[in-house]
Amino acid sequence: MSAISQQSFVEQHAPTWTRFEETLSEIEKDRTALPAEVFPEQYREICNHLSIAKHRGYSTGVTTPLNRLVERGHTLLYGARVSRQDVILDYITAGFARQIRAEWKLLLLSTAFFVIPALAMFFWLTTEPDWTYHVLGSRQMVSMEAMYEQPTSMRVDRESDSDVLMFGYYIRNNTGIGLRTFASGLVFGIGSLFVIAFNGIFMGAVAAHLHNAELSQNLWPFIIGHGSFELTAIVLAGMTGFKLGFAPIWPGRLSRMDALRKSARDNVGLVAGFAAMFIIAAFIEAFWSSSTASDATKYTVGTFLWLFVIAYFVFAGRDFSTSTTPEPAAPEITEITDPTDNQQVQA
Amino acid sequence: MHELVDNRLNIETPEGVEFHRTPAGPLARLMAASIDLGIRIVVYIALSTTLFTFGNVGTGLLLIAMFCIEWGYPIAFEMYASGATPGKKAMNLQVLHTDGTPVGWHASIIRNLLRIADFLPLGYAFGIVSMAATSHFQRLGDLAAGTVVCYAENTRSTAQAQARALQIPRVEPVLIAETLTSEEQAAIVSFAERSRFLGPERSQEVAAIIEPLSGTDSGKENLSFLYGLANRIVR
Repeated sequence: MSAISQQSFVEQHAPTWTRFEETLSEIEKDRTALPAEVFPEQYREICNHLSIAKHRGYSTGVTTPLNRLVERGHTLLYGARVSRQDVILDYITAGFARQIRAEWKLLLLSTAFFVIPALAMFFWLTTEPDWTYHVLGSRQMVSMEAMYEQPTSMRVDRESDSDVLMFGYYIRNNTGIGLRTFASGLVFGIGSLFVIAFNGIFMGAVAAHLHNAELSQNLWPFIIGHGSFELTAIVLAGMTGFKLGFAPIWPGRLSRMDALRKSARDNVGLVAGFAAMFIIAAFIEAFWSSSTASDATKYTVGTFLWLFVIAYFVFAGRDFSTSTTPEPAAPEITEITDPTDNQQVQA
Repeated sequence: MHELVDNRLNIETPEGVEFHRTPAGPLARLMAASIDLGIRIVVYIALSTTLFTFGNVGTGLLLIAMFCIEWGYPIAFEMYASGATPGKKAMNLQVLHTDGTPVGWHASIIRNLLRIADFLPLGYAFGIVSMAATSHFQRLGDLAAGTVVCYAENTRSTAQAQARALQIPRVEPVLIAETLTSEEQAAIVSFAERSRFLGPERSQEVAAIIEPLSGTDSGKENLSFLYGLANRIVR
């Protein structure tokens, strides 16, 4: 019934399959480089055999092992990964800042969602202090007063080993909130922007309250240092979550599913970036902001930290050479194999 | 035809050949997630009993460790243990890109960060709804990352698989006038290969489907008729 009977097909090609399987096992075990001169050819032969077997309606006894061989070969041939070190370093020194700059409109919008509510709260509550009870609640107000009762520089009673405790606490809490803000963007879409606004309202209200209680001189030296990284990271977390959630709502020329996948892939770097910023902020907050250095020193260092963050996002990764060669393509931690592209080519 | 009845993930390679993997359903994955949760709880208990003896520094380190485990545990295992956390390994599962290649950093980070979105409002509710609504059981994180969780293929070697599969009962080949399509041929041979794993009663029950061709309602005769056809096709 078939051109060649199933049995003679197997008898004819079984040695090839065994040989290919040995090659596969060897490469999978030792993780050696693919033998470029023979591997693709052998792999294609197996692909050919699977095709023939399926076409002629050979049984699963033949197609299943061939299917498995093709799958393993496919994994080795197309699942190759580039070495990561230089890609990551390049992203830290340049790519992250470039990507943020490319989104400057969105960054402006997110920053506005933070700054405007914060300033509005501050001016409102400093002129109408009674409303603070409604915004913060009396318990929150008392605990804030207790926290900033005396300048950090005077807190000699603080145990030095509690720095590590607070470092752990800030990392787990703040970075976690940032990552959750990003993830919730998938479900709540533009909700991430409201997380930013909520933080703005809260911080504006706290600042106003401490100002009213004449304690704000203890607040600013404390937050100016780590604020440079932390406040920026909050805005970036909200912005990234918003980008993710907004992609399927306004997919442009892509399908909604593809828009979501593309947005998620493009924004992984941003997520890693703002998470790193939260961790740096936690370090500064635990070991520097809470230290007993004088207020003047803290203002100076804080100003330099702000200048550093701003300078990084403005200048990092810019091409200052006068040559007219175009800038390298949008930098991201990209793998050689790109599942989405693969599908699009075949579609 | 089978696209309608099964949920296999058919992957077309650049060579124009299709191979398939089998995506895993919610139950297997929930069990894997529970195993992973159990492992993490044990690690947390072990860490906290040792680190709490070091006072504030210990507590700080514990919090840092908890942060790393909370967010990094699945990513680290998916990257360095062939796409499977210990829970997934126990359930014989593996994370893949939808094109069948092993999961990479990008996709792993996305699918695991977005796990929280799947967990909402509680107990992976959104994730389960999403898995029920997609043909390859993808949760929201999988959709965004372009990944799918499949059963890991067994590691039995090709030769073993063939030796096992190609043993069909030898009987005298049967000739029939009707032409069989290649799908029908494959079904008959596959049945002949597998029938000894079914048990005699069940085999005869299944073989009853050939009655229109064999013209008999005896289970035994139908079975040997099918074996005859299989022998005719294979040899």
